[in-house]
Parts: sequence; C-alpha cells; structure tokens
Amino acid sequence: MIRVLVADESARVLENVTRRLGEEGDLVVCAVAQDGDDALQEALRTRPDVAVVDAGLPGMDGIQTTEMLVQYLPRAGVILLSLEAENEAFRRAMLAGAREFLQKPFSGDDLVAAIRRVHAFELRKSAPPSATPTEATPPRTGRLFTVVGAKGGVGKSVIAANCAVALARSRRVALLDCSLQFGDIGVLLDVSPERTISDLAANNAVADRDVIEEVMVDGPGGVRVLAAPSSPELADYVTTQHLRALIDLLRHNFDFIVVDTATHLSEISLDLVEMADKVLLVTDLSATGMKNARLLQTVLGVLKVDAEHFVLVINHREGAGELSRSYAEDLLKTAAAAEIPYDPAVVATSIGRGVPFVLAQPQSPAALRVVGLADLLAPGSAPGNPAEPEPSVPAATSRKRRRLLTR
Amino acid sequence: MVVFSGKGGVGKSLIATNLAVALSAQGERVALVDLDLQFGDVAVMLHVESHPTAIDVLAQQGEQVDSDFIEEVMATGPEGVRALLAPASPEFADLVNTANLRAILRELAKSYDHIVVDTPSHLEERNLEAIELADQMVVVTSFNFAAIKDTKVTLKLLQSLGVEKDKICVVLNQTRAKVSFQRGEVEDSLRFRVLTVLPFEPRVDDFIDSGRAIVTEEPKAEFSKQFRVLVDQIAGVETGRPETKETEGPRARTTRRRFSLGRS
Repeated sequence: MIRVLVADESARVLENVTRRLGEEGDLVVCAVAQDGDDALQEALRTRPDVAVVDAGLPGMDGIQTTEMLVQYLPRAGVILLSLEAENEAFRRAMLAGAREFLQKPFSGDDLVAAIRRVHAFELRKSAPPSATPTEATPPRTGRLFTVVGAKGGVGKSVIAANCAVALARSRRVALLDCSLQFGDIGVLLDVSPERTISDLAANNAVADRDVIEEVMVDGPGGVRVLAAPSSPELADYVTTQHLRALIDLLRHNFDFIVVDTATHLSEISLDLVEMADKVLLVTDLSATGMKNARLLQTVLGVLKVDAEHFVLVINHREGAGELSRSYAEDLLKTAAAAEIPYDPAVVATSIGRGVPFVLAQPQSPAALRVVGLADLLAPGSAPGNPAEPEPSVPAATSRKRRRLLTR
Repeated sequence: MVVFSGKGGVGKSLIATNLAVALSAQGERVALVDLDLQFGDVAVMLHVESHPTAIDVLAQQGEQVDSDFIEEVMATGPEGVRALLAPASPEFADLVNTANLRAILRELAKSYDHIVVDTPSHLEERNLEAIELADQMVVVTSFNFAAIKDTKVTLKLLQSLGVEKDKICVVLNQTRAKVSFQRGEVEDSLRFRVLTVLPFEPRVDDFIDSGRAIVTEEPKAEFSKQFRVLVDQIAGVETGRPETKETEGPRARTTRRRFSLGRS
C-alpha cells in the first residue's frame, strides 16, 4: 500500500484527488491538509510514502513546505503541483527537493503515474546498496579519460569530441560534457538534445540506467553523448556525487568515457581528474596558455596525477606568437603525446559544420594525429584495417548549421 | 565595467587590458582588476609578471579594505594603468570572497574614473557581484558557432539578472584570418547590435608576448581603429556610483541564489 498525503487549499481538489486515488487498489490517502503548517504536522504524524503538495498553499507556501518535508521526512517523495508551467517554477520545485512536478490542471492518470514513479524511486533509493546491481551487470571495465585545459579557446572540446569519435571506431564510447555552464559539445557535434545532464541530476536519476540511456543522444560515428545544460544556472544541480554515480554506471556500459571539462577549476573538475584513468591536458603554445598549463599541472600534481596518467596534447591555433614545442615539453616536464596542426580548412570547417574532422576529413594531418592519440589511449583498439569512417557529410548538415545562426 | 564571455579564447583579457591602457592614455585614472582568479592573464598582458602582490593579499582585510593598502598591492602597466592582479596560483583564488571583492571595488570607485574588470569564462558569485555593480558590460564574442551559442546564453542570462540592455556592448573579435559569415548574421542570431568588429590582427600575439598594448602602440592599425569605437563608447559613459545600487530586483536575487548552491 502506498500512503499518500495531499495538501491543497481547495477542499474540492482534496476531495477529487482522494476519490481518484481510492480507485487504485494500492494507493491510499493517509492525510489531507489545507495549509503548509498543517501539511507538515500531518506528515510528521502519519509518515506518508509520497506527499502531493500544491505550490500555492496559504501560510507556509508549497515550496517551503516541500523543503521542510524533504528535511524532516527524507524518505517521503514530494510531488509539487503548480499552476505555473514555466521552467522557473519547475526549477524552484526541483531545488526545493521535489521529485516530480505536475502542472495544473492534470489528469488523475498522470497523478497516479507520478505517485508510482516517485514511490518506486524512493524504494530504490532506500534499498541496501548491495542490492542495487540486480540484473546481470556487465563488468565495470570502462576507462575514463578526462580532458582538461587551463585556458579557453585552446581546443579542448574539439579534441575531446574528435578523440571520442576516433575511439568509437571500434569501441563503445560515451562523451560527457562537464563544462557545465557553457559546454559546447552539442554545438561541435550538431546535436541539441532536449534533456541533459542537469535533468538527470535534478531528478536524481544518475544511477538509473534506462533514464540515462534516454537522455543520451547519438552523436556522429556512434558516440553516445550526454550534453551540458542549456543554460548556465542549471549547472548547479550537478554535484560531484551525481557525476561519481553516473560515471560508475557508465563504466559498466561503455569501453571508454571521454569527459570534457570547464577551464575553471572546481570541485567537479578536480573530482573528474581524480577519477580518471588518463588526464589529457590540452594547451596551445601561447605565452598565457603555457603559463596556465604549468599552473594547472602543479595543481593536478597535488592530486597525485603522475606522469603515467598524464597525456599532454599540444594544439596549434592561428596566430603568430607561438613558443616552441620543446619549450612546452621542458616547462611541463612531459613529452607531448600528440601535436595537432592548425589547418583552418579542416578544423574551422569541421566546427562550422558540426562534423568532427576525424569523420569529415579522415586523411587530414589533424585527423591522423587525433586517431594516433586515440590509439595511444586505447592500445590494441585500432581495427586491424582502419574502418573507413563514413564519408557521409550531408550538405544538409551545413544548411542546418546556418539555421542555428539565424534562428 | 565588466568584460565577460561564456566562451574562452575570444580575447577577453586582450580587450580588457587594451581598453584600460587606452583610457589611461587619455589621462583618465584607470584601475584594471583581474577577476579570472584562477588563471588570470592580465599580469602577462601588461608584462608585470614579477609584481609580487595580487588581490589575494587583500583577502584578510574582509570588508574593511584600506585604500592605501590597495594602492600598494597594485601593479603599474603601460600608460600608467594600475592593475590589481590575479593570485599567482589557482589555489589562492578562493581566499577572495564576495564581500571582500565588493569592498575593494567600492574603494577603487572612489579614486578612479574607470574600473575595468576582466573575468573568467565561468559564472560564479564573485563575477556576478561585479556584473551587478557594473555600469557597463562588454560581452566579447567571436566568429564561431560555439562562441555565438555561448554569447546567446550569456545575453539571456544578463537579461534575467536584470542588467539593462543599454548597459551591454557586444564586441565581435575576429580571432581567425578567414570567417565564413558576416557581422549581420551574428547580430540577427544574437538579436543584439554588435558595437564593433575587431579585425584579425596576426601581430596581437607578439604584442601580448612583449606586454604592450596594440591600441596605443599602433593606433593606425585597423584593429586599433575599430577598438577606438569601444573606447569612445566607454569613455562616454558617465561614471556611476556603485553606492547607489544597493537594491537588486527580486528576480536578480533568485537567479543569484541559484548560483550560490553548494557553495559557501
């Protein structure tokens, strides 16, 4: 039996909801309340499994009530009802700790389904951890490559994307955009998913394989992509705990997980570095780029990223003021694993069309270097006879890209 | 004024330093503050890398910053521009907190005509604080899809923070020799007028390496001419008093609160 508390100012709503839930054999309304304080008291008294709370409660409003319920009854999942449909209302609900958000008016079926989902989630959450991997779980063998850079515009995301696509020639690869505020993987690969990593986090679905599969989208070359949030303020939903759980799960399902990060150092980026099997440091050869790469390397040294885990990638970009490769290698005390030449006809065109250059121009020097890097990261993964990457770069793509600009 | 961009590598620091130096050359009193606290490049750009003190030194002063002490901590760059540098290493970035920063900016506002703030391409409490205090925002973007997407998002966000449209100038910096679309297309996409387009200037890196500002050293270069448009715009903005801006709209407050999640 799932016990439900319903809080709404309107007696009619309470009546209707109680009647509708009564039609389900396994649902029962254990308490009703018409204001926030009453809802909290009733909840503490009856300890419901699920609380359905209206945002517009008098007194302590629905958001505050939700916050209190989450604090005092962490095992009760809250469904917030609201007349507002805006993202804003949704975000507020999720921030307060609600598990589901229903816009009024809603159907009885929707409410019943939401209650069951929330209850199922709470059950899963409170199950002992040993019971979590139920079905035959594939071994946890996926390797994590975290791509970092200390200066914007050095090509970190471009290299992460192309490297992921190169690895995907023969293996299952997930590409995660953890540049959470202004991630560009979606633009670089021409995918614009409706849901992103922040939806997984806000709904606490980071350990739910089916939901993750749904939220990930197919990128070029068979890479599965988990995009960054569509707006910077959504980034704050995602915590290191979320990412740990998510990556842990992805390690079961993928051979390689490539993670792009923000240039800004945060708990999240440092954690991704710590978890990584290899850390790819991307730098250009500019004076500021070198200075920052050195600083970043020092910080990572504190995390005990040793030479073995550290992969230096030098990316050339346009402009005259370049220092030499040997200067960079001396400064960073590391031999570069790859040096990607600058070729606007290849790299800039690839970004402009949203097609990774390892697919669009596989014979170009830049593509060959990235493929070389991928082989280095995954020894033995190179197909004996390098599968000719799909040469299909439809003209339609670039037209779609123009639309992005004019939209 | 605050120079911001969601995308890295579009030339924020270059524009912030050149702007500060150009204003300084006109005889204005200018302070340049490097809020890219982890990986700030202003010191390199002004060629004052060996200057021993930076903003983190002021951190202990909390909300009671002493203006003489700020002056001691600051470095002097070309044309007499004064600069409050970023910490020498990223781990010192967190010493500077919002209240501390607000006090520093207020103190600087008393003795300088212009305060130019350079930022990281990341939004957090401290640069949001600067954005809120700003009289003028310079949003830098570039001719590529990623930068344009990030700029769209940035403009939307500034709007939701309650930053008025006429306080924002968009500068389009051409970081590559060839580009595949036009200024007009960028403006249509952003639904925002671009104040000026800075043409590709291959010598920019040489200027950075030698710590000189191209706008004052090479005023005849096309880059410098276009840059003038920005300088004139900024110089024309009457300096506001941050003290009068205590009140923030409720909307701005909730948006800011969201950024403070999980942070102290």
